[in-house]
Amino acid sequence: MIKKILFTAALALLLTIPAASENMTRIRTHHLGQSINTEDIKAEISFGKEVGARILGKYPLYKNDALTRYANLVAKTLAQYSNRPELGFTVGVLDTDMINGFSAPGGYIFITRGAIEAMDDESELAAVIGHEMIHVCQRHIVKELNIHGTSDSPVAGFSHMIGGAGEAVNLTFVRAVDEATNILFERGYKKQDETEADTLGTLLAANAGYDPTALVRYFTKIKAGQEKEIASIKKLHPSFDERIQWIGQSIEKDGLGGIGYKIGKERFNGVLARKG
Amino acid sequence: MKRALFLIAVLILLQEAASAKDLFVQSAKAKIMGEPNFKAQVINTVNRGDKLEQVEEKDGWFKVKAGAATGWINHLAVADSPPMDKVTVITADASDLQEKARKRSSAITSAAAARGLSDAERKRMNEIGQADYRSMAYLEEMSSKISDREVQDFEAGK
Repeated sequence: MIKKILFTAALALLLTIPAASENMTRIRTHHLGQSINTEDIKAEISFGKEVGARILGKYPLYKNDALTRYANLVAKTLAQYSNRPELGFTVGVLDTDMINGFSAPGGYIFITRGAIEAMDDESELAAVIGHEMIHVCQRHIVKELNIHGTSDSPVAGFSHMIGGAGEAVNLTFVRAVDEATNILFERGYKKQDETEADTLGTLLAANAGYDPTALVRYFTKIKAGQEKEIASIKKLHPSFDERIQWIGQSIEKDGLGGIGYKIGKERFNGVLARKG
Repeated sequence: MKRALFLIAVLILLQEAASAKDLFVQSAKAKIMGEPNFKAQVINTVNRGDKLEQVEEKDGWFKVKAGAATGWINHLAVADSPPMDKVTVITADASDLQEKARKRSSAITSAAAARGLSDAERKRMNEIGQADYRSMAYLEEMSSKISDREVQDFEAGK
């Protein structure tokens, strides 16, 4: 009888081990980084450079040293609190009245001049950069492209492509760059990726000390703006009302409201040579 | 009987190993909170590279042991492997980049042909295939000039 009880107990324990392992796998896949080496990250950066150059081919660079340095300082401040310390992050301003932002794998972020002109302070710039930074950190494009190399990691797929030789590999690479630019300019990210970019971007900016309501303030303002300036952002993203709603829910869930945060109006106005 | 007890002991140990999990802080610093939200009491502050033992997971937060303290850390601050050092890819000078652009451009034409695209579609492909490597090099130079110290001063409002 005792033997039977012990056997049953052992069997029950045995059955729980695979369940625990499965749980670990799920957490790793959905929330955490994968086992990626330096070469994989270099490949991701090299791919991002190509996509970034395409973005700059479509929209010319707004070459303003002071504004570029300022935007990069804001991004690097946020990056200190991100889950991708291996990336340097580079920000460029695009010379167009259109209000939008783009990002490429490896840490390249682009904000339009129109988007910056519609901002009132540094916390709004941090919120928009934070949104783009989460697209990079969570590897939204990399996952969407679904490139796999010798391992299960899509990032390792880049290493495979870049490390390979011959025209076939080159064509695969070019097609992947085409596909990435298609996501950025035509198709847009998945709705769940935009939700994640809005909510985690807000969290990231708040961790760096910026007002978590900045993105809501910004969307509320621009949604009433000129149609030609917001047509692109509307085409590529869920509605402003939906986004405002899920950011509000996220602020409530993570307890981000009502804590003292910085806005950075004076410094922002100083860089943009605006009168306070 | 003894063998069965031994087996149970081994299985308990295996189960512990399967459910215990190390997390590593990725952000420069992060707060350990008393509850899974930022309004709760701050229990401790951890730094990049610190190892934490995960106890529980709830709605984007991990309950962790950090030294003697137990509390909650947001998932954005941690990963399941130690943080990597900064990775840089040396950018070739502008003339190399233009050469690279030329090669890529010819590959784009081949890619379009391989997919059997129409002339109009090829034209569109070429349009989206236009790239500006010189501006990329300018941006990377601007970004790389900023030191960690400058970022810390900027954050502190200096």
